[in-house]
Amino acid sequence: MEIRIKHEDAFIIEFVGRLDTVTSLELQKALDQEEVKENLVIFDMKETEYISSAGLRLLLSLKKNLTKQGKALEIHNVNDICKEVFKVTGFVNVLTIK
Amino acid sequence: MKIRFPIILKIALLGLLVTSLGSGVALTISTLNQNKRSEETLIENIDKSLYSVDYMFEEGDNSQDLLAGLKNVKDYIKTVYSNPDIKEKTLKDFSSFEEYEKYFQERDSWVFPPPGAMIASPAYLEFRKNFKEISHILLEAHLSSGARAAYLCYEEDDGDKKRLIFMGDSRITYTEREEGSFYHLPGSHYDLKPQDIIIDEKNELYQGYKINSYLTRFIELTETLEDGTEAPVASLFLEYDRKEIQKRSMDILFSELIILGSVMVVVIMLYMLIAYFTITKNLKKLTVATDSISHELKQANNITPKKLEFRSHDEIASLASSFEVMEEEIVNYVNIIKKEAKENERREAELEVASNIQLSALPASSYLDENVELKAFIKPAKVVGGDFYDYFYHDDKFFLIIADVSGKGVPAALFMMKAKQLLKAKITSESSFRKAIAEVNNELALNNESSLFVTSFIARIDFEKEEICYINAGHEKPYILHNGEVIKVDGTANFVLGGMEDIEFEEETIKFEKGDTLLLFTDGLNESINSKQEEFSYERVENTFKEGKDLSLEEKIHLFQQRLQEFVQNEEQFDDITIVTLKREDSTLSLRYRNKDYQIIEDCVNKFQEAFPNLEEEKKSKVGIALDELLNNIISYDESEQLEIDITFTKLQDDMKVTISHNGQDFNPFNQDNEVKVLQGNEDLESLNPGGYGVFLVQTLSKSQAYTYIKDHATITLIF
Repeated sequence: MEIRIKHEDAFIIEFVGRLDTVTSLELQKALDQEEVKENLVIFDMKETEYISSAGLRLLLSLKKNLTKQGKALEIHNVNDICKEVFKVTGFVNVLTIK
Repeated sequence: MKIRFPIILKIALLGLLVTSLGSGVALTISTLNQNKRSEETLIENIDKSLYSVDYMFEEGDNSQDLLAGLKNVKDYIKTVYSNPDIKEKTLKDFSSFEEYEKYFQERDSWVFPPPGAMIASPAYLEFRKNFKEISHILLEAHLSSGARAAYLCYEEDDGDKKRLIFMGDSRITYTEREEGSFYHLPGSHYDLKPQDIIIDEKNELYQGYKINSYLTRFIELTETLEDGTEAPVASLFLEYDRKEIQKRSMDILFSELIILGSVMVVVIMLYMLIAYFTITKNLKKLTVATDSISHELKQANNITPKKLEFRSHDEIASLASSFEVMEEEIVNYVNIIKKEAKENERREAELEVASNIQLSALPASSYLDENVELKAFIKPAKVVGGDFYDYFYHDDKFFLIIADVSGKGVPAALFMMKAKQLLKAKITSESSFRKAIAEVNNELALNNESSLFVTSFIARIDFEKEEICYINAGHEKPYILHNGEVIKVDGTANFVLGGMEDIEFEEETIKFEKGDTLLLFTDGLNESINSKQEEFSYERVENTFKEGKDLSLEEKIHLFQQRLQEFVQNEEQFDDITIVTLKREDSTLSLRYRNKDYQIIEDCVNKFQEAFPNLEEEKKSKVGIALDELLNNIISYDESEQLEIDITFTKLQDDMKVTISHNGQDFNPFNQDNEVKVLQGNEDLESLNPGGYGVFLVQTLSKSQAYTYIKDHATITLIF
């Protein structure tokens, strides 16, 4: 697992590996240490192998927090299996997936 | 053997058959002839029946009596007729019968036929007496000749008229004619010869031969005159019924046939008697002698040839002498055979032992470990065969050998044992694979006076590298089944083992991945022939292998046996057949966890992904997600002292089966009323519960789910 955070025009989170019970805790820890100044947060899943329900929870809470702050969350580069997970759970309707 | 149909009986039956056939034919011909030659035959037959009548009239008192009586009768009749007074008088000329009687009594004569009442006129009485005698003779003639009626007749010359007088059994009548005309009465034409006269049903007279219902035969009665000449007195008419005669002639024929048949039967019986003494008796003698020899052959150890005594000098005696010679030969031969049989028995027992030793030298036909599964099949053509296979681990590599020794029987088997031991010994002692095989070759070629050799395929399987390094020493090229496709292992074909010293052997390498199957076989399989002399061929081997791609190894071998049997039918197997199948296992991965730690999830997913590198990415991910969700749940809800989790992954044909067994809570994740809310996008974000998607995801991503709880162990089974 690897987490890369970049501050460009947007706040970019690149997650490498499986977004599961253990790794989402670690991701949460990493995000807690960051301060989001940008108005847009991009969660890049280009190198994310798959996402489990723990990952979904994380994304949902992230979306909630950002919405409260009036900021946007975009999910980028979703692979087939992740797309399927988002679809069957209806997360496609809540999250902005590009 | 019991004789059911003795020869003499057969010959006798044949004789009877021929006789009956002959008689039948004779009867048929005779019947046909009977119809054809009707007239002649009829007359002949009548003549035959007239011997007694001729005798009656030609010889003895009968003739004399008849002639004497006839003379009197003639005289009387003449007297009556010559009396012009009574000549024309008939019954109708009288007013009453009394008048009629009176008229004739006065004249002492009677016209005939007499008018019923017997009037005792002395002349008439005399006439009656004579006529009675004649009647009596006629009756006798009538009965003895078989005719239906008999008449005596003569002609009187009465000047301008001629009168023919007929005398029957009981009455007398007459007819008259003018000179130069015919009589108009049933009877005869006087001018014709008696035997020429034929009278038809309508009582008309004909001349010549013609078929009619009645046939009349005349016998002329003569009287010797004083001058010594014969003068005709009268003729005897015999009237025959034509049908009756025909019937009688058939009866005669039948009686002749019966006589003939009886004669034949007697002849046949005589023949049988003669045959018995000349043939059967001697044949029986031979049979007894043969039986006794047979009996001795079965029972006794010492057999003595029998001497046969024959007085005759015929074919049977010759046969008997040949038999004696043959008997001696048989006795000698049997003694030799008996000796050889004992020898053979011993040899066969030894071969059986050799066969057992050989088969026990082969490793088990079935082998299974975590790396490979192996099934082998060997069917020797003779008791002791030249095919073999072997397998063993050495230096963490799996060696599989299949070989076919040239030649059959004991020499091939001995050579095979040597080759098998050498191969294993050299491979396990020599570090270089090529060198090991070269040394085996040299050892086998050394002092190989019988010029035997071995074709062999030696495979060294490296499970880590997933490849086979092999040396093919002149053997049939094997096949590998990879992802449903059959690949020929088509590397360098080296020279055979033991054929020539100091040869180099090339080794080759081919991929052998998890799930792949290797098929090795000897030429007994592809060169098996059917009744049309066609070979089973590489093509059929390849097709059968492909056909059974989804079958287990055991079923694959059964399929080969079945296809081969269908092909060869009843043809004899002329070479050993060996089939070895080997499958690289990838089917299962078992993991055990005894610590309650979320890190096991990562470890488990990692090991799973390593174990099934060929699995599609999507499936890998689905299994990963499911493992994360379920293990997370199990660990979270566990209240046991020592958590035990056993996970098994099984690669099925197209699917992946995951079994998770644990001693945690009896909680069926799939039996809950999981009211998972699939998000629609219009929900209030704050109210959304971020949990509850785990089990839902497992259910959605897997094809099927099952849960059992037995003996404190919960088991979740998932299919992807």
